[in-house]
Amino acid sequence: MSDTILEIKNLSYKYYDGDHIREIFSNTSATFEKGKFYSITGESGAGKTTLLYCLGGLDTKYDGEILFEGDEIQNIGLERYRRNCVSMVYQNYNLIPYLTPIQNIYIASNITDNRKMISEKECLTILNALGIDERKAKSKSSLLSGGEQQRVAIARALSVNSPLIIADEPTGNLDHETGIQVIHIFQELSKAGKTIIMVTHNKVLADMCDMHYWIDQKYGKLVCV
Amino acid sequence: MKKQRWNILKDTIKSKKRDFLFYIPIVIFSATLFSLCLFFISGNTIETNLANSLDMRLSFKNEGFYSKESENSLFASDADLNQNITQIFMMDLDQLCKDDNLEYSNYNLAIDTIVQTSTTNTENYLYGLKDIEYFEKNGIQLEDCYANELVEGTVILPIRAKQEGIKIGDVYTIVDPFNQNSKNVELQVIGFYEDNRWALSSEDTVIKTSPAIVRNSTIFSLLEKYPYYYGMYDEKTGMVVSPIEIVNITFSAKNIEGYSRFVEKFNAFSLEENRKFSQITSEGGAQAKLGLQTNVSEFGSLLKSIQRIRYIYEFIFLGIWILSVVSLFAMTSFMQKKNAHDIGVRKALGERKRTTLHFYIDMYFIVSLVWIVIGTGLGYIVSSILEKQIYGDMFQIHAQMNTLTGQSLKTIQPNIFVEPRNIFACGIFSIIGILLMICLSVVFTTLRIRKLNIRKQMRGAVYE
Repeated sequence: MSDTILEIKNLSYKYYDGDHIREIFSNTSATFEKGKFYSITGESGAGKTTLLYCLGGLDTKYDGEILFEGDEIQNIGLERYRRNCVSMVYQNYNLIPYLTPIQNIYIASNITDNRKMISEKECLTILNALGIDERKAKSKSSLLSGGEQQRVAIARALSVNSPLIIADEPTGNLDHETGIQVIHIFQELSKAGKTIIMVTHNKVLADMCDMHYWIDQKYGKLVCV
Repeated sequence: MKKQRWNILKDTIKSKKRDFLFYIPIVIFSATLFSLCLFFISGNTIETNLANSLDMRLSFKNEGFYSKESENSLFASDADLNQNITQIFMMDLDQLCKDDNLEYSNYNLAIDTIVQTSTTNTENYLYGLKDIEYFEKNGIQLEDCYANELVEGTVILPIRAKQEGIKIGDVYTIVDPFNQNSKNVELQVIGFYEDNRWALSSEDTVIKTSPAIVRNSTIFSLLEKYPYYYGMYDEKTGMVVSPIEIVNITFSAKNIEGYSRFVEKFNAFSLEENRKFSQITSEGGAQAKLGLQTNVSEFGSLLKSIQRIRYIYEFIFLGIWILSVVSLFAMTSFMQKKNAHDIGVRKALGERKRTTLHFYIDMYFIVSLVWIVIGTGLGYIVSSILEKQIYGDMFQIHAQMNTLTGQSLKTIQPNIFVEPRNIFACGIFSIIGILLMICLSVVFTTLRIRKLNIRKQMRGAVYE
């Protein structure tokens, strides 16, 4: 049985930039295996975030195939795919700011079919594991620091218990040390069997991953470094 | 974890409280609609109130004001006739129409006669403005009439009295045909009121009635309940002045149908019956006949006017309803856009559409409910203010005449006809209400929505 969890087949992506058609990807392919930590780097505007949104089932304007465990994600159903198969961690966290971390996690866990509705205690356990204490867990998310919010976002992704976590520059707004901490968290998660795909600008952090893809802007290809 | 869901809902509402202020248009809607409904539905029916507001009453101009011996003898000979005619004005038209033995149906004449005769004692007559001719013709000395000594020495007359040449300061002698003890009391005119009437209580005090006084229905009620009905004799002009001018006879909508059946019945009268009637009226003079013809033919067109008003009013309400639907839709869309980010996050997490919708519907429902409760309370206050503005303060003609004190919301007797005191105020209130609705609910909301870049909001939510 193949260990491939996610596969990109002949992916092409273009969009209109005014009157010009701009092609980001051109028949590019890649595979992502279970329990591995991938990083994707590339120049600004190379299409890193676009790729992640395609992988995350948030953008469907591509040609080619994205297969999750052998099934085209659009066949799975994008809503279902997002709900059960993938979790996303955003650079700007995308937490609901007026809710507490616990409530944010509750919403995510309530959505997924992967597990039973999570209890407050379980939320706290996840948050504590990521260094968020009870006091902070019960305060408004908007009052937390960037690092803390990012950890809440990761906790939210974890609560869904999906096998694939896609992170879009999760360390982009964090200082180096906190960034390293986040990477360590991802490393542990990958060891626990989850697949992590992370977009980053930071070469040091990228090198800490199991595999490193680079987007060749010129040819619109994903190149394994 | 239901508690958690409730907490999320609560926190969401709390965080959006500034946005929810835009729900104020809903408050204005509910308040204004409630006020308007109370205003128009109160008292009598929608049509009659609107008819009153527009001063489009069903009216019969009482051109002839006669006291003919023939009519009086008619009443004397037929005790039931008097009762029948009274029924017309006492809102018992339906019952009247059921009476197969009804023979007399000269509406105009009935008006005259009811004024000129007591409903309780056919031996006493009350005389109208032009009765002086009758007095002269028959050699009746006005001093034979009675005055009430207890009446105060001042009086406010309707404007019509002014048109008759009566001036402030003129002195009149009270003529009370029903009270032998009242005699030769002089009353001085102190003013004229266009819309006011004066009435006498059992304490024999001149009361300036409320502007919202029920008009002619009250008069007839008074006639039935009180034998105190005054005429005034002006010594200078030699005229007997009826203090209550019978200009308009008003029917509430409830009785329009009854009366229309009554008219139908009248029209269906046999030639023999009409001939009988002609015989009666021919003794009373040609004018009575003229009155008969005029009024009956006018009635149909008056009914049409009321029908038209009803249609207009239904259209107004339909318009308000459509406006409210559009505004609520706009409001919901607006709130939806304001929540674009949260909705985006939820969708990005893979939440089912129906779950998202359910959450926001719950939220809007709770908030709307709160505002509508507030709005309804506000509407009640507004309607109370409107009631006072339009119908005036409560008054009581007599302690026992509770049915006559009801105005607007508190009308007890369906035949009591209320009339807005201030049609201008009524109009202004309506216009302001409608403008507020349009401005706040539609224009303001629409402008806010137009300012939002919807695509950007959604892109920002999902892709940022």
